[in-house]
Amino acid sequence: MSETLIEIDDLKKVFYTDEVETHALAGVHLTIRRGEYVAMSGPSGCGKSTLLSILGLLDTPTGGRYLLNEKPVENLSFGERSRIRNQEIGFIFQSFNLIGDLSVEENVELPLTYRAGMPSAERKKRVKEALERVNMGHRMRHYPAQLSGGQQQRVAVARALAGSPSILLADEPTGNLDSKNGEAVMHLLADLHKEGSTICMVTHDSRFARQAQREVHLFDGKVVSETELKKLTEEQEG
Amino acid sequence: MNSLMQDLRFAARQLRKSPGFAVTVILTLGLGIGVTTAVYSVIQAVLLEPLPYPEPGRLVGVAYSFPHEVPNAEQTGVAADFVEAHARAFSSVAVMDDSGAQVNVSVAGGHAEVMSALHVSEGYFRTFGVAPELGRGFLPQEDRPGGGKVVVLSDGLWKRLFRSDPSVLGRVVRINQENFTVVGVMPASFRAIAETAPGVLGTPDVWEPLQLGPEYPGYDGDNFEMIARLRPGVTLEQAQQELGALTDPFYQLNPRARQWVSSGHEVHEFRAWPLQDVVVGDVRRSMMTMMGAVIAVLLLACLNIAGLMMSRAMRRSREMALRQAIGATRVRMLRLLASEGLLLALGGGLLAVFVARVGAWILLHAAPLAIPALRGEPGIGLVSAVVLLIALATMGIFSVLPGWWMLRRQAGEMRLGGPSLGETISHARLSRVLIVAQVALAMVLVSTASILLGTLVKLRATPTGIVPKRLTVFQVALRGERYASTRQTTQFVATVLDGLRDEPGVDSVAAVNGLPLDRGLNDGGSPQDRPDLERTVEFRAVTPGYFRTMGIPLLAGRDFATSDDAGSVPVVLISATTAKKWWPDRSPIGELIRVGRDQNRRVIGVVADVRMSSLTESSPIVIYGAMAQLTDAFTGMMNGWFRTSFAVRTAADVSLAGAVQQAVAKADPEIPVTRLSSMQAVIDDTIQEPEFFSVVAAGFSAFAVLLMAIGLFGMQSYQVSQRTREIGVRMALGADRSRILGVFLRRGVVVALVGIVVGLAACWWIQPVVMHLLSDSGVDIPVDAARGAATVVMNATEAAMLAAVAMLIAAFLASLLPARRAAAVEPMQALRNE
Repeated sequence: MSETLIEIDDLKKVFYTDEVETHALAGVHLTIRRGEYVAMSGPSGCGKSTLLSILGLLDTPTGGRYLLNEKPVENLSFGERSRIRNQEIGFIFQSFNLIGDLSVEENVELPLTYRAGMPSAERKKRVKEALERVNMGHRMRHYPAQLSGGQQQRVAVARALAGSPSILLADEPTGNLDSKNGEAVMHLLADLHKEGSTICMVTHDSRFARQAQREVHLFDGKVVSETELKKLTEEQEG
Repeated sequence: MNSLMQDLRFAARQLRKSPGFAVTVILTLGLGIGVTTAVYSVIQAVLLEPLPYPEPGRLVGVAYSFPHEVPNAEQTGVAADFVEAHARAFSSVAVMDDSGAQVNVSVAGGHAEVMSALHVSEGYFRTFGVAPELGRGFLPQEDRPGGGKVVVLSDGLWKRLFRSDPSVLGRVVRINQENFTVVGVMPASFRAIAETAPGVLGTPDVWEPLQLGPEYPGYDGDNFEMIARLRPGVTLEQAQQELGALTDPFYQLNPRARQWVSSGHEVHEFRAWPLQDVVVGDVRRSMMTMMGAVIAVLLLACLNIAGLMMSRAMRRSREMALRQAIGATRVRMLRLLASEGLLLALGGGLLAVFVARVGAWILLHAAPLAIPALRGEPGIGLVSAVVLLIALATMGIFSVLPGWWMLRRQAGEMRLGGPSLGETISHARLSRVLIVAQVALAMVLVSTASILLGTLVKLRATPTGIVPKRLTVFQVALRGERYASTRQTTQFVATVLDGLRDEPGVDSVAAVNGLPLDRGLNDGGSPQDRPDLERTVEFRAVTPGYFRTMGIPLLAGRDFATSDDAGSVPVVLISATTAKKWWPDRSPIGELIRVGRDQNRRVIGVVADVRMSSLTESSPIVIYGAMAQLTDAFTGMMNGWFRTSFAVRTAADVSLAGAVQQAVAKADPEIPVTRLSSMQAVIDDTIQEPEFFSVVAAGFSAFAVLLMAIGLFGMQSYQVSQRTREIGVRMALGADRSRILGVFLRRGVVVALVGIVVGLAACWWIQPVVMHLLSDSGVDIPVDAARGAATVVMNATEAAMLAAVAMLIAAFLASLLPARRAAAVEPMQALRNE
C-alpha cells in the first residue's frame, strides 16, 4: 500500500453572491495516494474545478480538513501556500496559459525562478529535461504564438513537470484540443503516470476519464458512485 | 443624423462611466494646447506682427554698440548727434533718453503724482509717422538746450487730468515743480516703447523735448536710444553701409570715446537693425525658449493622449467585436469612436481657450518680462477657433487611429473572449515606446527646471553685503531747479531724516543716491597718483550713518560724520575690493582718489563689499562720498538721473508708511513718495525674471511629470487588467504577492530607465539654451571662470541626476498602485475563465 499524498475530509466550499448561497462542495471525502492517477468527472457545475482549485491551494475551503503530505494546509498563509504550490504542485490548464511574451524555455523556467536559491544552471538543466520529456526540446526558443495547440499543451505539461512536483493537477487538459492532439496529451499523461507521477485530472470526457487508474464522480458538490451519478443525472434530465 | 446623435449619446454615457479617463484627457488636452496657444499668441503679437506704425518696414534702430550684441538702439549723446548730423540714409531721426524718467506731475495746484516721462528729440513723432491728435509735436527751437518748456500728453493722461478737454493746448502742467505748456495730445492708438517703470515697457504719460547737447547729463554715456526712418528707396543694407563708413570719422573727431567703448580688439560701431528686431531683442530668445518648452509639453500631452486612447480602444475591443458580429460596419464603429473623441475635444478645447486667455494675460501683464505692449490683447475669436480646431484634429487622430488599428487586427485576431495571454505584445511595445518618449521629454523639462530652480536657490543664498531684515526703503525724485544745488538737496534730506529718526521703533536712518542692487552712478575713477589704474567705479553719495543703517561693516578708518560738510576736506569711504585692488600692500587711509571730472577726495575708511548691480557680479569697485560735500553740478546731475533713496532700520516689524509720508510732506509737500518697500523686496526684484522662468519651468516640468505618471499609470493599469489571468497563472506556479508586486514595479521602472537614458542625452544639449535664458534674465554668468559659473548656476550633471531621480520616483509611484492591484489578485478569480 503506497503512502497517502492527499487526504480531504468533509470538505465544504460555499460561495456567497448577493444574498444567494451556493454550496459548490458539500462535504467531500477523498484520498489520493502517491503515484495514483485519479480522474474527476461529473456534469457542469458539480464542483470538480472548485475541488481541483482547493487541492491546488488556489482556493481555500469553507470547512473540512485537507492534509497534503500529512500536513494540514487549509489555514496556511498566502506565502506558505505559494511555496507549496511552487514545490509540490504542477498545474496543467485547459487553455495552456503560457505567457505570450516569454519563450517556451522561459515559460518552463518560470516556476523554477520562484524557488529561492536554485542556481541558473540547475534551472536550465531541468527545463531541458522537462521539454525533452514532452518532445518539445527543439522548440525552446519559440514563442507560444508560434506553436500549435497540442504543442502549447505539451509545453504546459513540461512547465508543470519541471519543478518535480508531488502531484500534477490537470483541469480539462484536452478541452481546447482537437481529438488527435487530445489523445496525444492523454498518452503523455499516461506515460508520466507510468514513470511514477501522481496525477489528478478533471475531465467531463468519459473516454479520457476511463484512462485514469481511478475515477471520482462528483454531483452537486458531493462524491458519488458511478451508479448513483447515472441515476442522479437521469433524474435531473428527466 | 439620428444615428449620429445616438453615437454621441452613447459616447457621452461611456465617458460618464469613466470619469477618471475623461477628466484626464480633457485636462491634458486643455492644458497642453492652452499653454502652447498662450505662448504662441504672445509670440505672434510681439515677434511676428508688424509694428503698429505707418510703413513699419522703414523703421530702424540705430545703435552704437559692439558688433556681436543683440539688436538694440543704444546710443551715447555724442554719437547720436554725430549720426544725426552726418547720416543721409534716413528721412528722419529720433533720439530718446532711455533712462525712463519718473517725474512729479501736478495740475492747477493739485497734489503731485509720479508719472513716466520720455525725453525725445523733435524728430520723434515724425519718425514714427504719427502726428498728435491735438496740437503739434516739438519745434526744432524747443529741442535745443535751453529751449522752451513744453510737453505733449498721452491720451490717457489727457483724459484723466483734463477730462478730455479739447482746449487743453496752452494749459500749464507742473512737472518737477516747473511749469510746462501743453502743446499736443497723442492719439489713443499711439503706443510707444519706453521704460515706464523698472523693467516695464509701455507708453509714457508725457513727452518732453530732449534738448540734447554736451551739457546734457550723461551725454558721453550710452544713456540714449536712436530710431530712424529710412528714406524711400534706401535699403537697410545701404543704411548699414553708410553707418559703417561713419565709424572711423567719428573716432577721429572723438578720440576719447574709443577709450570707454573698447573690449579687446572690438570697439563700438554704428549698426542699424529693423526696429521690430530691436523692440523684441531682449525677449526674443526667452520667448522662443518658452515656446520650445511648451511644444515639449504639448508633444508630451499628445503622446499621453495617444497612449490613453489606445488603451481605451483595446479595452473596448470586445465590445467592438460584438458590434462587428451583429453587423456593424467599420465606418460605423470608427464614427462611434470619433464621437467620443469629439466630446473630449470639445471639453479639452474649451478648457484650452480659457487657459490660452489666462496664460496670454499672465505673460503680457503679470510676467516680469520686458514685453513691449504695442498691441492690445490677442483677439479671442481667432485664437478660440484655432484652439478648437487643434483640439478636434488632435482627438480626431487619437481616437480614430487606435480604432482603425484595432479593427484591422480584429478580422484576424480578435475574439469575443478578448486577447489571451499571448496577444498583447504589439500593443504593449507601442505603449512602452510612448512612455519612453514621455519620460525622455519630461526629463528634459525637469532638468531645465532643476538648473533654473537650483540657480535661483543659489542666487537667494548669495550674500548681498547688507542686512535686509527690518530695513525699509523709499525713494523721492528731487528734480528741477529747486533741487539743482547741494544745499537745498541736503536740507530736504535732513528734514526727512529728522522727521523719521524720532519715530517709535526707528533705530537709524540714512539717505543714498542709489541703493544696492538698484540704479546708481558709475563713472571712471582711479587713485589720484595712478591714473593708469582708471576703471569704471560705482559712486554713491550717502549721509552719515548709512553703513550702520544698511548693516555694512566698517573694516578700517572711520565713518562719515556730520562735520564732513561742504566746508571741510572732501572725503570718501571705499569698499574692501577697492582697497585691495588699488593699494594691495598698504592701508588706503589717507590716499587721494578721483571720480570722473570731480575733485580729489581723501580716503577715510574701508567698508565691506556690497553687491551693487546684481547678485552675480564679482565685487565691484565702490566709492562712497559724503552727500553734503558734492558740488552743485554733481548734485544736479545725480538728482537728474537718480531718485534719492532713504533707508530706515527699525527695532521691530513696524509699518512706516504714515511716518514716511508725513516726513516727506514736511520737507516738501510737492514731492511724492515712490517705491516704499522693504529692502528685501528690492533684492527680490533683481531676481524676479529668473524666478519667473524658474516658476514657469517648474510648472511645466511638474505638469510633464504628472502627464508621464498618468501615462505610466494608465499603461500599467491596462497591463494589469490584461494580464490578470497571467497573474493567476504565475500565482498558480508559486509566485507570492511580493513577486507579483516586484514584476509590475520592475516593468514600470525599467520603462522609465530607458526613457531616462534617452532623456539624459537631450539634457546635455539643453544646458546652453538654459544658460542663454539665464543670461537674458539678467543673471550674468561668468564666462572666463568655470569656477565662478559653478557658484551661481546649477551644474548640468547635478540637474540631470536630480531629474533622473525625480523620474524614477514618479515612475515608482505611478507603478505602485497598479502593481499593488496586481499583487492583490486572487488566483482563483483570475483563473475562473478556466
